[in-house]
This record gives sequence, C-alpha cells and structure tokens, in this order.
Amino acid sequence: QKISNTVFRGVTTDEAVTDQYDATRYNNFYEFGTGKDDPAKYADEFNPYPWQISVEGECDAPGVLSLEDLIVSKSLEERIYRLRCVEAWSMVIPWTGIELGSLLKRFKPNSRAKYVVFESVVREEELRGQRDRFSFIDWPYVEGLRIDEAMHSLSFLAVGMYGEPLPNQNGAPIRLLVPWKYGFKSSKSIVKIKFVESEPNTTWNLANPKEYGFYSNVNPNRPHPRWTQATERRITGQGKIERIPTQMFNGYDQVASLYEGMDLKKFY
Amino acid sequence: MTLKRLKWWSVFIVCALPFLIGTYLYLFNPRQLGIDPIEVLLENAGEWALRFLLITLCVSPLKRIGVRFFSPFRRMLGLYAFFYATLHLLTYTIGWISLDLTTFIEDITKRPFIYLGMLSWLVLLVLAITSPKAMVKKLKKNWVKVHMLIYPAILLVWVHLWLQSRASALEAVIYGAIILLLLGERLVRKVR
Repeated sequence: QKISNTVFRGVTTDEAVTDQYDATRYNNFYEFGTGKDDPAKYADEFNPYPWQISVEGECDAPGVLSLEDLIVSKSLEERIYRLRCVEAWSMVIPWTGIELGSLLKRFKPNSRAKYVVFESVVREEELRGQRDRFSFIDWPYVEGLRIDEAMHSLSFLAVGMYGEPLPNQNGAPIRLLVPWKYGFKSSKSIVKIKFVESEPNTTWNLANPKEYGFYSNVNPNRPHPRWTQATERRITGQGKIERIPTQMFNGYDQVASLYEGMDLKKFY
Repeated sequence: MTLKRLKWWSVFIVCALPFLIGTYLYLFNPRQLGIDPIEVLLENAGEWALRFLLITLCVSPLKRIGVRFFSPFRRMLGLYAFFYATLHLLTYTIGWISLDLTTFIEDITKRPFIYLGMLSWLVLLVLAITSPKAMVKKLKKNWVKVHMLIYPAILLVWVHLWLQSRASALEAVIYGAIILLLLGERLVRKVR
C-alpha cells in the first residue's frame, strides 16, 4: 500500500535512484543477521505493529510518539537522499517521513539536552541476530547525535521508502536518516529517544572505537583501517554498480558549519 | 577411459564446480548471485580457497585412519586452493577496486587485512610453483621442508578471515576450530 498525503519537497539529488528491489534486499541490519541478504530473508519474523517511541530525558514535555501520529501527520514529505555505508557501498533512496528537529521540539528539550540518544528494539524471539552468541555487539543498538546535528534540517525520521511503509528489513516502522553520516548512524526500528547531557556510548563505537567514531561523518580523507573511504561502490538504477569518488559529508556541504573548528580526522 | 582416469576427471570437475557455477551465473544471470555479484564472487572465491586448503590438510589424517580415496589427489586439491586464491585476488583487483592503483598501493602497504591476505597468496604461489613432479625430484628432501609452508599459509589465511569479521566471530571461530584440530593432531603426533 502507498502512503498518502506526502508532500514532495526540495531535498533531492539528480543521481540515479537505486531500484527498490535492491534497496530492500541488500543492507545491514544485524538484528536479523550479519549477511547483507539476512535482513530481507528473516524480516517476516518481526512484527513491528503497533509501535510507539518513548521520548524522555532532559526535556520538559516527555511523552510517546506513536506510529499513527506520524503517518496521519500533515507534514509527511518525501526526500531523496544518498545513503553511504561505512563499508563503502552506497545507494540513492526516496524516503517518506518528517524532519527530526520539528518532532523533537514538541518534547521541549531543556538546556541540558546536549545530545540525543536513539535506542533500537530488542526482541530476541523475533530478531535472530540478537540470539547470535558470537556477536561483537551488545543490544539494544544505540546511536546518538549532538543536539545541533539532530536539529539540522537534513536529519529525518522516516516511516516509508519508495512511497510505501518501511519494510521490516529497512528498519520498520520508524527509522532515522542522517545522510551526511555513515549509514550505521541512522538507527532502525527506534523504540526510545532520550535527551542527555554528555556524549553517549554508541554501539559501533563501543565495539571498535578505532574504526567507528562517535561522529562518523562521511569523510573520503579518513580511511577506515581496513579499506579506503575515498571511493564507494554505488548501486545505481537497473542494478548497475560503479565505483565513484566519495564526497565530503556525502555531498551535503550545508552541514559543514556544524563542525567548524573541529579536526575531523581526530573527531572521526 | 580407465577407472583411474574417470576418477581423476570426476574429482577435477567437482572441484571446479564452484568456479564454473559462479562464472556461469555471473555471465548469464548475475542478479541470481546477489545485489552486488562481484562481492559474492569475491567472498566465495576466498572461502573456497580456505576450504581447499583445509581439505588438502585432511588428506594425510584421513589416510591414517584408512580413507585413501583422496590420497592420489592431494596435489590437485592443493593447486585448487591456489586457483581459488588467485581468483579471489583477481576479483579483488579487477572487480572490487576496479584496478585503481592508488587504492591498491594504499591497501597493500597500510592495511594488515589486505597485506596479510596478499602474503598468504604469495606463500601459496611458492607451493604451487614447487608442486610439479619435476620440482619434487629437483628439491629432493627440501621439498618436504618447502611444503611445510602450508602451515603458516593456513594460519595467515585464518588471520585474514578473522580481520574481516565485523559483527560476529562465528565464521572465524568455526574455521579456527577446524584448523586447530588439523594442526593440533599433527603436533600431538610429532611430540609422541
């Protein structure tokens, strides 16, 4: 089924959009397993409905955000974003959702709210990846942003892709998109959003701090210890794959001011 | 065709199947391999190289417990390990990094994951070059010594595998256990 009442706004790109088939069958979502075809394979073991996100921490109006609130929202819009995985593959995907900042403001974050934490779902019985005893990562999957990053107009909370509700394998029913950062910063199946005062410990940063920094902005000049980040394998339309240069901030230069004066090789 | 020849060809073709099937799919129906067919071919070739190394290492212990079927094919199995390792290397250079020299030089100088893999391929190359019967005769006693290199090779390959694991160690642990068993058995016999 299609999501109705979507507004089409300006954030887009003239690059070829990845086929829906590819974007829904090739991705990382370790809750379903570590293979890139695992999420699509085991997605039906997970039932995300009904769903709500609890919003808490340093804010004056904590509460819950339900999926229904979002879907009937008049401000649903479609945005076409580049998605750059830290593993060096990338796609161009149309998402349906709401600007994150506009939602967060409803809960009135206070002056101690310096960071925002996103916690993903834990359901061992439905998510076989969480039953893997050899996993290097601890559940729940936790990610975080600095408050100004979260409030940036590019940060987006999606409930759909390609005009349809988010498939389970892509983070149903609600996921984050921070298009200038590596894909793993864009948490999937979010159950909790928390405003906090100090920089949170995040999943990949805990698992391997040398490889995955808190910021993890797309940066062609800072190679991953195991591979180059200067180029990426773009999965374009009709399943064509080509190696192309990676752009700073994944091409979203408008976020550069957030990091003025910061050494991005140190704060990677 | 004698029975011996038939057996030889059967083993030869069965060992080539992963390559034949992979190549066939890549040429005629690449999407059946996966969304990124090159990535799948890259992983498969690497994993088959490791598997053939392990199978080669199984030949003598199997012979000792009375299974002699594989004994005449030890050289062939070892050469298949080298074949798949070479395929893995070619898929990486041509398919994965698109012959990008800058990336290649950076990879083999800075990334242990890549240069240890490359080093294991070089060791296998030495083993492959010294495998023809003429070389066995020429090297005499030294041949056995040279071919002891299969032990450091398998360990290097395992480190290469371990270094690429990201979220789960399961695969590396399973292969590690098999390697430990095969090398441990030899060590124990030597000590005794």
